[in-house]
Amino acid sequence: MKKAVLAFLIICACLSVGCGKQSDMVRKDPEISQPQIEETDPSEPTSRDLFAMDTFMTLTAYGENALQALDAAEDEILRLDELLSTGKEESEIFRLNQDGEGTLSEESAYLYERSLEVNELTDGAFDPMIYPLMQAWGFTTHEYAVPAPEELAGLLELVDLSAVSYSDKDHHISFEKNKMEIDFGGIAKGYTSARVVSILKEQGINHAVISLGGNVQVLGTKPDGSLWKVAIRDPENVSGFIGVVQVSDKAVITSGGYERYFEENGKVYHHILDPKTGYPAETGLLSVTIVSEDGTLADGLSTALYVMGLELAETLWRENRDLFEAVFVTDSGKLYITEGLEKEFLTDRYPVNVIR
Amino acid sequence: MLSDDQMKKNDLFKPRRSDLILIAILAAAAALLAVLFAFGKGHEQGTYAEVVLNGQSYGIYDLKEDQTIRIETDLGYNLIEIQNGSVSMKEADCPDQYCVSKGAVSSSADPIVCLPHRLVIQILPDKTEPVSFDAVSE
Repeated sequence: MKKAVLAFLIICACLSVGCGKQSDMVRKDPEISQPQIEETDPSEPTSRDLFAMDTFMTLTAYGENALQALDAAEDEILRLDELLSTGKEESEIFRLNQDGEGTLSEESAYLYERSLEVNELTDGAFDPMIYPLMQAWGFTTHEYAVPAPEELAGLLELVDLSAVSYSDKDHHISFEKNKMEIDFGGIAKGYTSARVVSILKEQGINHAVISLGGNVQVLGTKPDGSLWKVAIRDPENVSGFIGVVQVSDKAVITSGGYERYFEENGKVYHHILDPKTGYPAETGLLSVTIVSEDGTLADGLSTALYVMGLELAETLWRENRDLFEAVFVTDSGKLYITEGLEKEFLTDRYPVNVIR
Repeated sequence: MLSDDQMKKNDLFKPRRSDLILIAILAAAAALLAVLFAFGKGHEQGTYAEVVLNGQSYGIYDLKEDQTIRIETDLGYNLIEIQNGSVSMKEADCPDQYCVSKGAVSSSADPIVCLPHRLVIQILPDKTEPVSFDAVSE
């Protein structure tokens, strides 16, 4: 019995010194010997749901430190939401858009440089300067309207990266045209999921799956060593799926017109705008899913490849097949996957066309 | 007179305050586990949906019992329908109607979300069934 008491006290002591912040709390009230840190069963999932970045997020982690790791992940999401939001008046991006110039923080500079990279890779199909167009269509406020052609023509002038001067030395950025506005929304969630995964990793988590409003990223494998199964939404039937892709350490990010759209005079207008025309991209694709280790890239590419259409997307993949894999659904109901997913993509729905 | 050794022996059999505390803690833990086990077991036997409103659990509903659940908050109203073992958002006065157009769901990895009303309908995982997927990319 004595030994049992001793063992119990030792466990309590170990638990209470495990984490700096928590042990401070213990010290304030030495009478309470209850462990302050909740250790979670590493074989059971620990989940966290939250609303942020105008979407619903679910984070699931496995490991003894899962609770603290999810706390840290949630803090990071809320921090990035504040930093990157175009709508919040205190955000860096909001101020930059108001002033037309400014000095980017290290993190915003990274996002700007990644945006440029995806812009160049996709020949302008991804454009961080598209924000004035998104506003005109009401996709930022949910107050939808089809803009007049003259209005769009005027706004297209503002979607112009060549009129942005940026120094990668001091991170100073300025817009040469009045009313130009930047938005990292096209890669912000992918960047956030990448950050969340690296924070979970730092906290000692080896197995996790996160979904930031349908932008999925997984850390490691499932706890039993098998691959994570990520279902891909069927763009034609939003309660169904086109198949399941099995992955470890990957982001799986899908863009489709079905995600956000409105109807006016019997015509459906979706939220994926072509930066070259100002109108919703109509290229015969209903959805594009990108599978990549790089969440930021996957987010940008899913939008860009949707805008480019299947043929250009295929070419882009052939030239960059080490960077990503993709799944495409066309408006004629056809399903295409890139070669690297041949073994990992499971479906019973369509004949599967493999892009090689 | 008892020797030092005998004294220690006697001490061992005398219940101490710390022993009683340990027994109390163990008993409490056992009771808690029993409750958790019974609760968890009940959920494994069927499928249940949890309605979560602004991060707080609003209620857990048995999918075997056909019913409608009407929820009104400052943000608006939602009408949830449970029918033939599945759950769907039958009506909502949110502008986008995505929650309604989603139809019925049956996987714990695929919640129905009414974002403007901060309302989530989540199927509780059935541990007796293998999962067909862990997340949905959309």
